[in-house]
Amino acid sequence: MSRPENIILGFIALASLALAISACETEQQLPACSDGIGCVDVAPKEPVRIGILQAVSGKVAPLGWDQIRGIELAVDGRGGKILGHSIALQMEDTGCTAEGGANAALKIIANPQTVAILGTTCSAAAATASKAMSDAGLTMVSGNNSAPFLTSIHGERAPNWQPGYFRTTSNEEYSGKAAALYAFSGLGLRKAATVNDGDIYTKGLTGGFEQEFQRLGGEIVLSTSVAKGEREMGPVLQAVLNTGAQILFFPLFQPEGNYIVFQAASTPGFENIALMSDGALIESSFIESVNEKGKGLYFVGPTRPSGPLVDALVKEYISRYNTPPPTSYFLNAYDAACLLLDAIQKVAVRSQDGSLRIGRQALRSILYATVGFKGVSGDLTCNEFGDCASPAFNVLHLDDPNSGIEGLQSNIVYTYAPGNGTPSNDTP
Amino acid sequence: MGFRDSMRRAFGNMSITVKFGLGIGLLLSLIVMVAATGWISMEFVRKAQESIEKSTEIQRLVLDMDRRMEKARRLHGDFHLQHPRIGLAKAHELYAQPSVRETAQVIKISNALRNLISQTMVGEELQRSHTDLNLYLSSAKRFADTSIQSVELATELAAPEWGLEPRMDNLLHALGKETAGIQKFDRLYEQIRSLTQDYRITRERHVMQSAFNAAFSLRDAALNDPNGDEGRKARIKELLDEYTNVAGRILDAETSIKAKFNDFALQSAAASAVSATLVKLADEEVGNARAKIERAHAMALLIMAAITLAGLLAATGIAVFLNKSITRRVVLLTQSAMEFQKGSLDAPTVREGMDELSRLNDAFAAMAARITQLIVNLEQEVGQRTSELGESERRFRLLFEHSSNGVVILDTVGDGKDFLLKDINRAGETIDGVKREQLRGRRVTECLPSMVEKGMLEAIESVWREGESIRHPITSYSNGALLSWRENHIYKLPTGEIVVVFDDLTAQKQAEIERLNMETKLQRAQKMETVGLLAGGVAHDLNNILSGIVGYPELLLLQIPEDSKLRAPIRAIRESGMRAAAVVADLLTVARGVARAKTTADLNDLVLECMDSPENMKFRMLHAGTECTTELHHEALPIHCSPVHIKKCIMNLVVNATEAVDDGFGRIVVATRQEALDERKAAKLGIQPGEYAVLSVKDNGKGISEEDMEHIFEPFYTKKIMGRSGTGLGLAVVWNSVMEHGGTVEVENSIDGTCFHLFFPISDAAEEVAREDENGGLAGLKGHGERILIVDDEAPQLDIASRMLKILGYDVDCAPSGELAIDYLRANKVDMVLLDMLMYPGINGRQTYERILEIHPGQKAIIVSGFSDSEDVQQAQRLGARGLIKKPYTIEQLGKTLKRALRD
Repeated sequence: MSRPENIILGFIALASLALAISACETEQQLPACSDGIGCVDVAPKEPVRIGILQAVSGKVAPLGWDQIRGIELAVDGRGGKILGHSIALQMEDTGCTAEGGANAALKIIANPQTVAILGTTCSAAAATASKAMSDAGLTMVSGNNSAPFLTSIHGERAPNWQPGYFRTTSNEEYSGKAAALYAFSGLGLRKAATVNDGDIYTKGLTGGFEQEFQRLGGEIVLSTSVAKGEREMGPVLQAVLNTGAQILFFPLFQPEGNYIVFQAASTPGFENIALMSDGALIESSFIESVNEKGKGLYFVGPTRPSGPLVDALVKEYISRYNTPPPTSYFLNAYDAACLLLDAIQKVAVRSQDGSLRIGRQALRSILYATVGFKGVSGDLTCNEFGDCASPAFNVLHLDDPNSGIEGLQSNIVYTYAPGNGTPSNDTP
Repeated sequence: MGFRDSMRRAFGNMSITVKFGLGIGLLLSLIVMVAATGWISMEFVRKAQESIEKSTEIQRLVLDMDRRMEKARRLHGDFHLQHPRIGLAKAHELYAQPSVRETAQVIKISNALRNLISQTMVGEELQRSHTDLNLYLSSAKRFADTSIQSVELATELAAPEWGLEPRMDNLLHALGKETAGIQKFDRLYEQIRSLTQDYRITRERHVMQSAFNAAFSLRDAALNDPNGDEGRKARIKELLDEYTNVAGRILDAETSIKAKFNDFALQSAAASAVSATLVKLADEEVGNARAKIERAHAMALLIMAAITLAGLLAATGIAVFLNKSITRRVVLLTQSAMEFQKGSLDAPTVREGMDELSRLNDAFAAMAARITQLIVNLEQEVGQRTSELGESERRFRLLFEHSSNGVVILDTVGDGKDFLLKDINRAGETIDGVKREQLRGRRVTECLPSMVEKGMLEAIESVWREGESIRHPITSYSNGALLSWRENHIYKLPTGEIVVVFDDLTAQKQAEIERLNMETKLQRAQKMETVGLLAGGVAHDLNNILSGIVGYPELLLLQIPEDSKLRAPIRAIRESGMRAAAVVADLLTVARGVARAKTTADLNDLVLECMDSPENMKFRMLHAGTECTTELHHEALPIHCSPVHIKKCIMNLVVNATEAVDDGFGRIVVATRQEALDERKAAKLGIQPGEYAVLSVKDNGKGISEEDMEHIFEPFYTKKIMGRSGTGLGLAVVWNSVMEHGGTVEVENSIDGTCFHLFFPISDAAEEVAREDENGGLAGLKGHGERILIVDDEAPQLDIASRMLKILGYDVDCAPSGELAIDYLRANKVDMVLLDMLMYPGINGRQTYERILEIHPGQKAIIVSGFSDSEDVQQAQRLGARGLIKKPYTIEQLGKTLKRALRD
């Protein structure tokens, strides 16, 4: 055979070899998804997508941003990566409303690559967002929601409970109870008026308060609402006056809470009526806003975590954001993020090429199975309703607005921790 | 050695196939590249166009979806705006329901969009927009849910009679009635009503709260009115509680509606952003696709231009390369071949490397050398072959001319219907008695019409058509005799000419027929000789035995009285012996011929003697129904014969004829005539021409079958019934007897009867026709004491002969062998020696006689033989033996023979 023919044959042989080699190079594929509600496959070099639903507009924006910062600190604590994949955070504003939560959730859910959601800030937004999220098979962990309607009431599944919803804050079913206990027993008051803004969070709190207050023998002389965004609080304050209430329990957000305080201060007759709000207003901007007019206000809110971890995290917060945290709720957000990312890390199946498969039900299941997770806000053990934090509430008294949030949070007049037996310090 | 040289050498050594393969392969590769480029660019364009179409479709759907969504929102807003004015039912029909329908369409379109985007080839950005589409879809669904909820809330608020608003109006109306007439109450009522109306205008909750406060004051005032009617108080309280409740529900409902509207705003913002994004992406997609098309066009043009340029260069290079390495050399080779054709045998010089052209060049050169050599050889060969061909032509012309067979060469005219005679050789002229000059160029039908009559023309035509050689003999017979036989062989030459080789084989065929007849006779003779050998061996012994059976009874009859009862049985024994001897004699006649001495006898006399013989008379009496007549020649027919055998022949034929005819109607004629046979007739009969006495025995029976005719003269062949008729020797005896007499037998056979003609040569010798001695009894046979020596190796035979001779009056001596007889004669003299021919052991009769003659020249002797006329018998007769007597013999035969021999 002549040389050119050998060359041609050589080319053919090389081409055949190349074809054979290319045929052998098949991708290492993940096994078929066996998760009950589906999987998220994260390709190599693709990020793990986490949705962030927070209220970043309006008066509650500081709470929302605080949550986001807590989440960012948690993500940064992992170098922005999980299992070698970057963590992509998709932030959506809920506006702290139900409709805002629903629409923001839709934006998150629209991307099927979203593994889970961290949020929301407000329980009202959580009620709609969690339903949309849960229906889509996602998992949501909140570091700020506390409305009982979202998880359980009296040990039973609450109306707005949704599978896959978790929170690292306490169920405020006990928040209203703590407030009522303190008002009835601590302050000796027997007539109380409640004002909510119509959403499930404030209604849950006023409901809890009313129930416990009446159980103790007190009288709820007024149970009314104000509209979100309403500025004129005169009529409702007049109604309070009309009913002869001794205490007004108004677990409102800003600015409605602010208007209550402002207008009550200028309304004759309110000097003898105790005003008690909730954790939504345990926030530096509120204190700064009401200032002296807020003096004497009572707040009921979750106990503030403490300890070296908290201190270190606060220090990091300040270092990063050049401002002290306005509330301590960023700690819960931090814990929520850590809890979720750890769970993802545990359930994710990693293939040789680096791609991940995250079972959606598996993620939920591992979160429900959380026991003694060491969070900065305390040990977290999730129950079947998604409550992961132990209930412990303080009643704070604003003696000196100038001492700021720190002063307020330090001025604990009553602590109610049903999981730990008797209240920790003051007995009402 | 440089790379260039190596490459040049490698290319030089490549085969033309590989060179062409490389060149064409390169061109094909370029063509494939052009095609691939075109195909790829077309594919790009197709995909881009598809992308444009899809993007445009997506854009259209998005816009449609957005438009419908906007319309749904507007309709929904109109519902809330218009239902207080036109009524809830009408607003439902005009706004709410169309809004829901539009929303449903939006959901449908968004679903279709999502499928379209996921299933078609669009850009990655657009592909990723499925997330936005999900959002849009979810928003649309949420709009559907919330809009329905808001409509329900509006209905709950405004439904006639049971709606919250009408109920509140009714309550206020009822409250107004209850408070009417009481100033304080009326003022508070008016406050409540006024605030309620304010709320309806402002939708400010605190206004309603103020109304609640007024209601609280009214209730307080009413309940604390000391003059108040308790019933009225209760009704006012109830109405106020109901009012507070309904108003609170109105507040909640309107809060919810506000939330819904807020929801719509959020949805709208989200959906608008999505639709704007999708439209933008689709625009970008279209732009990208168009850019892609332009790039593909440009790239394709560039690549094609490059490939075309490369192709042109490659084609030029290939053309130059192929021209230099192949075409130019092929042209040179062609020119060399053309020169070669013209006779120039110079070898081409296109040798470069080891490719096929170089090898062809080498082969061409070798071929040129070889052809040069071959031409020389061929010229010599042609000269030689021309000479040989001339020689061959002359040879074949001589063969043609001197062939003993006639040869005619014909050529067709009229499509084989007739032939032109082109040539005929001398033998043909001689055979046909024609002249070549008269026949050449003429049609066969004109010059040889006899060929048409004899079927020759048809045979020639057949050969001309079929090409198969045939033999076509032409014969003619007359009365069964061959008159002429012309043998023709016809065959076709490759030139299409017909050759007829013919010969007159009449004489040859006649000779063949004669030869066949002779062979038949020879075969018969050989057969007869074989039978004779068999019979001869047996006959000697039988005759010796029969000598006793015939001789002793005869001696006894001479001695016993005439009236003795023993005479009849002894005579019967003798007759039986005589019949047995006759059979043996027939056998010997058939086998060895007629052994008796021949005399001249008249055939007519012999016929008459036979017809008058006791034997015939007796036979005729047994077949009285058969008429047997004689038709004898008017003159004597002398023949030299053995009368006994002639009579035997006549008797056998008569007996056969009698048995061949029916007894009731049989007719037998025994005739004689004289016939002169010419040569032809004699040849046909196988005898010599001349005068013959012919004895004919004719019957009117059914004739002899063809099958039997072949065998009738064979010994022991008989169709007669075994035991009733003869031995099968009758006609064999006739045949042999006639043959022994130099004659022949002719048989005429037909279904009307059979006639046997026996031809005997007429005797020329003026001998007196022999007559049987008519001496009466033994007295005339008595001797006179002559001394007779009997020589026989058979003791009984010696005894019988001795006794008979003694009875006849002779002096008898006996010798049991030839040697003893010679010894005896050395010392004695005898008048006659009765000498047996066959003796064993020792010398035979002839040898004995030869030695006796040496002792006594002229010694008379009679030969005694047990069977036929052998060579020894004839030799002995030539030596001087005076008589021959066959065993068994009677005393009378012995006496006559001895008497005749002594007398001679």
